[in-house]
Amino acid sequence: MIEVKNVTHWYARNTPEEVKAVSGVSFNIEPGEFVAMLGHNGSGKSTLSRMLNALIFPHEGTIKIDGLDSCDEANIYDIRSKVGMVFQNPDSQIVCSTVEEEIAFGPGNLGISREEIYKRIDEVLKMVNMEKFRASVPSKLSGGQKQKIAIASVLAMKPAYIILDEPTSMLDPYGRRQVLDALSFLNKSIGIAVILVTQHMQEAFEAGRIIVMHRGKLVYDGAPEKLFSDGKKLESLSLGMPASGLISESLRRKGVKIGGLYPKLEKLAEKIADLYNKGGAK
Amino acid sequence: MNFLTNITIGQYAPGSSFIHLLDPRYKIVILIILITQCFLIDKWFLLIAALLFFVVISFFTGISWTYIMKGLKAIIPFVAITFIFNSVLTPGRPIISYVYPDGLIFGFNPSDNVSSGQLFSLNVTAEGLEFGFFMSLRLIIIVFATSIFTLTTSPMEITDAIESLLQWGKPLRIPAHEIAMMMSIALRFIPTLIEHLDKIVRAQMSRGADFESKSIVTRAKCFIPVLIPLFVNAFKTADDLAIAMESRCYKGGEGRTKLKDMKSGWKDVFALSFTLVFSAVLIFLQFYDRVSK
Repeated sequence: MIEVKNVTHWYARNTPEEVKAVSGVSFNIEPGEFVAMLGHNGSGKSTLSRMLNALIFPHEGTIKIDGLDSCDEANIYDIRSKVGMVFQNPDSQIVCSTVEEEIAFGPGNLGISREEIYKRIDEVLKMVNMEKFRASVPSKLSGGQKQKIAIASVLAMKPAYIILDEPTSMLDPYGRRQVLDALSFLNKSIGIAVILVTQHMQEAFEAGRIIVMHRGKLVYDGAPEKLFSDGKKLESLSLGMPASGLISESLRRKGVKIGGLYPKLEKLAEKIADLYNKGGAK
Repeated sequence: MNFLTNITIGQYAPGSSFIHLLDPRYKIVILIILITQCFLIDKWFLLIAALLFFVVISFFTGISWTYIMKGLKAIIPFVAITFIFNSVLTPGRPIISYVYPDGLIFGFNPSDNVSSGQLFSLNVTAEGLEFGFFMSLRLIIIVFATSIFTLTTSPMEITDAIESLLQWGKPLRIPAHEIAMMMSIALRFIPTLIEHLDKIVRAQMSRGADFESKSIVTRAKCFIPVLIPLFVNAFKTADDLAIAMESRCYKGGEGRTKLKDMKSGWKDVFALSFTLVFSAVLIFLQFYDRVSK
């Protein structure tokens, strides 16, 4: 379990340019959860996600990963291998020149035996559906494929949680879909907890739980349905409504009994078709 | 900007040829021997033999000839500059001279014309032409050999091999792992930086930068707004990469498992002894007539 308790972090602390990036945030994440973290640029979500990986440390409060305190230097490498981190830019997080070596980089740093590393390379490439690209050169892959390799190389360290800091923001819609499908497979079939930092509402809707950061504070923590049905709250946080929410919202205003919220556009379409066929649209 | 995507120097072309599978440590030692040998010999037929040796090797790599040649094209300007400078700046018997104010003179003898009030002369000497030819040939051989090496050896293998060879420098406090890691990352980022460069050049062209201007000064000025963002970008990339490496538990060379075990076998011993014999023959031919005279 990831336990975040009253965490505060400043940039340039004790200088005139001091900025409070995260203030007094608390939440827990259970193993196997799929959490989306929403927020604007500068809302503190990247800072927070880097703290979960022990890349930066809380100035106040504590972060515990499966009971390991991130402020204790002896725990840093355990935490980093338990909580994998994938970054925004696929080009600047790939260290090696072939896919195979890239995946071996993390486990290699942990000093795992060579036979085990080879086994893990096979395993994780299968998980992200990239077996064909084992000997490829990462610079020749597409953005979505590079990002899947980045995910695979984090998976090779056998993390219980992976945090993805806007992993799709530099991808085209097809690449975005590929990455999201890989994530939902990892979450559902392998049981890895996924923490997806994003600005994309539709992506957030696919998660089971949403955390919203606003000016360094945690302002919402709960189910996506509740957040996206509260138009006023969304507006006050200047977050947009996801496409499926917008459609059902305007149908409801026209008197269509559309019922709840539909995270997936396909589900919404099914519901509309259902109502239409029944002739009960009015 | 098609040429930008065509740079193959330092790039790895995956494969499973005999050359690919050699132990990278042996490959480095072989490369060093062959390059040293190029500087020991100065007979044109021996240099050509050395060049042919690499041409033959390149066929064994299974990499297409056009791909290798693409990389070599980039060094043409350097070869030209080497040739011109050597042929003009080496003292000796002038063949063609430019004398101010007289103009071009063939077979000019500097001592004849001292009285005619010459102010300035530039001589292409016979020795210079010869020396320039040798230096250009050596340059071509070295780049050719090095690109065969980098094409057939992945940067990570190079890293591991250099690290393992530099272990002997440990008493001298040579940071073997750090040097090797830096090199491999530098090689890995060549295509990424080229992509950045390409984007910036296009962006500046769309703002009216004139990269095809006939004036060299204008063209040179155009590159300032290209290089500055490129450097800023490179620093940002380096910063991102450092964080990404840290997040994957990178803590230096201590206790790291390498993916590939460097095993040397009879193949490597064969390749090394073949190289030694070849070099010995060339060096023998080089000094043979000097000894017999």
